[in-house]
Amino acid sequence: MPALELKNLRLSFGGLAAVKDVSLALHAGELVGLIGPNGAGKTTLFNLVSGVYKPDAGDIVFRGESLVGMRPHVIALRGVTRTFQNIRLFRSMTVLDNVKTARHHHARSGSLAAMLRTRSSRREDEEIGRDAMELLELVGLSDRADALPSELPYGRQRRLEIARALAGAPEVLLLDEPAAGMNRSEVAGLSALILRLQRERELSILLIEHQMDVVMNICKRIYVLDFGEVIAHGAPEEIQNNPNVIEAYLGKGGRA
Amino acid sequence: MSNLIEAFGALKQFWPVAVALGLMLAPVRKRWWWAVVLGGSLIVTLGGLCLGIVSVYAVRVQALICITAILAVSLTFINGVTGLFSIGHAGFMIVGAYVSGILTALVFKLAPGTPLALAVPVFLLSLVLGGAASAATGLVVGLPTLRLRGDYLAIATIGFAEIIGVVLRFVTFDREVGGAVVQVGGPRGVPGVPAMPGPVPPGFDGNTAGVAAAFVYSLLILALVVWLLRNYIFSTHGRACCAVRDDEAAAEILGVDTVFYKVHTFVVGAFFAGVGGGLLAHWSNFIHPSMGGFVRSIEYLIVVYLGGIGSLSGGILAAALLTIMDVFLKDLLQGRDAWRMAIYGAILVAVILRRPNGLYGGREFRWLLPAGRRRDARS
Repeated sequence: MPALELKNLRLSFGGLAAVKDVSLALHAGELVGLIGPNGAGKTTLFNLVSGVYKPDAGDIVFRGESLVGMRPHVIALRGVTRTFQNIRLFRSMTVLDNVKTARHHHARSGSLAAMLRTRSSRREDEEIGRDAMELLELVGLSDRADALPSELPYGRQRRLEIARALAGAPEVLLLDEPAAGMNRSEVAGLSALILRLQRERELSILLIEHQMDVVMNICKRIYVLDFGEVIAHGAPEEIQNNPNVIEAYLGKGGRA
Repeated sequence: MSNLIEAFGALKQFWPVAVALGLMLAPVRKRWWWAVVLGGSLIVTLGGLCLGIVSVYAVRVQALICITAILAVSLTFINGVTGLFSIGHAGFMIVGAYVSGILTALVFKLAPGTPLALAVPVFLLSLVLGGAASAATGLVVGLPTLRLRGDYLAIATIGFAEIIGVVLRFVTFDREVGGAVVQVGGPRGVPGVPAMPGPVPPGFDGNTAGVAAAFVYSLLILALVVWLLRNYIFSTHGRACCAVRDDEAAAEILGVDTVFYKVHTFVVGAFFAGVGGGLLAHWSNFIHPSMGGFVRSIEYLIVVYLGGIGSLSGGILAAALLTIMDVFLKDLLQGRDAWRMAIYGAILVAVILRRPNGLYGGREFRWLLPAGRRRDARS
């Protein structure tokens, strides 16, 4: 059974069909790439999975349960989290607090206990802090725990987004262009990190990326989206030589 | 000119406030410093009152500072921490004032000469019940306005505060309940709210003991409210609220139940506003519907913004400075009240232009920060 399965998803904005009949499966522990030209509907697909939009038709199945109609925070709680294409960190909170916030639903003590600073609420907060710090170490940001996100260079902000998404202890991680704006050495580090997450944490990862070398190098399977439809699907070599894909990216005659 | 000299001269009587502010602003990181701040404020004010070097009037003003600070920190929690733009805070406040004031008026009239051991718990209970009534109002405001943000939410909160004001203006209730006359006089408000009950310790007379009790209650409750809110803000729930303020959609996607926290914020903020309202009713001994009006809400908003939105410390500082400035301008202008607001406004504009983040925006008193927190940035 796949970890995450999208079945015949459709979504239109007014007359514009942003996603038409997309089916996609992500198996447990798999790292799958999702590519396509700008406006192909990749981020829209992520928004559907994370509950920002509700599909007009089709189903999203996670661990045998439909996610359609659930509010986004419930979906996160079930174990599907994501990063954002345009970085959306909590700008007034420290790096550490950003990660701790996303671990919020692991706290069980209520707000009254928090106000009274009961022993259990303090212990829980310490645990959350330790877990968050571990995640910062994982992505290589533990030295900047007290910084504000805006004080970090762009590439490290993207790493913080990943740490924050991991804080929810997901089974499925959706990465939306994590390498955008990174330089060559940052990209190499990021690829290594993503592979580590997949292997060590046994995460199922769906990766949107425009930097082809990243996708081609680390993904075993790739889906190609164009105008809201899956136009190709397969191993990196197959995708690279697929005439539909070349046409989508380069236009007709691009094969020359 | 003589007015000016007199008004400046009158400022001297607030020296205990200066001492308290000095203690608060001391760059001490130790967390036990709160006891020094609290103890110092109590000793200086009560000692001064006992020795006759601090006037009854000055202590009364200090009690008002504490009450204003309670309203400021509860509002800064709603507007600054969760980032909801509520401008009807006095509406929450007055619900607590009515409930608490009417309750004690009724009880103390029914049982005149209630012994202190009973009167104090009754008074404290009335504050809690007033807070609970305000919290219920907060829930009523919070639920339907969930989808609103920014300006639209602000307009909705004014609307609710005005509804509360109008209802209170129309409610007249003037009859005997078990031998006591309870008056809720519609536009005339509620007269005869008893003073805060307290002992007359040696060295005090009836007059000074009354004002001392008001001051002690207000200060201790302010300390409690600040402690509770500070714990909340620096807890996982507080982080969730800050996340809602910074990026609501991202917070929701990362697992924060934004709907819950927005309603929760209104309920918690309104609860403490109601407690502050209860204190205010017993401080001024009467309640008028206009105390819940728009002008009063704006005054609390000014305190919060001058202090620095989201900062508990800033709220306390601004409450002290603005309350004293108000007194100063009253002395200076001697009844030409229209000018008072004009000068008050001009000073505010000047301060905000020089410090757009308020006096203490994005910061807290060092000793107020939880252990291990090197950075107070939350706002």
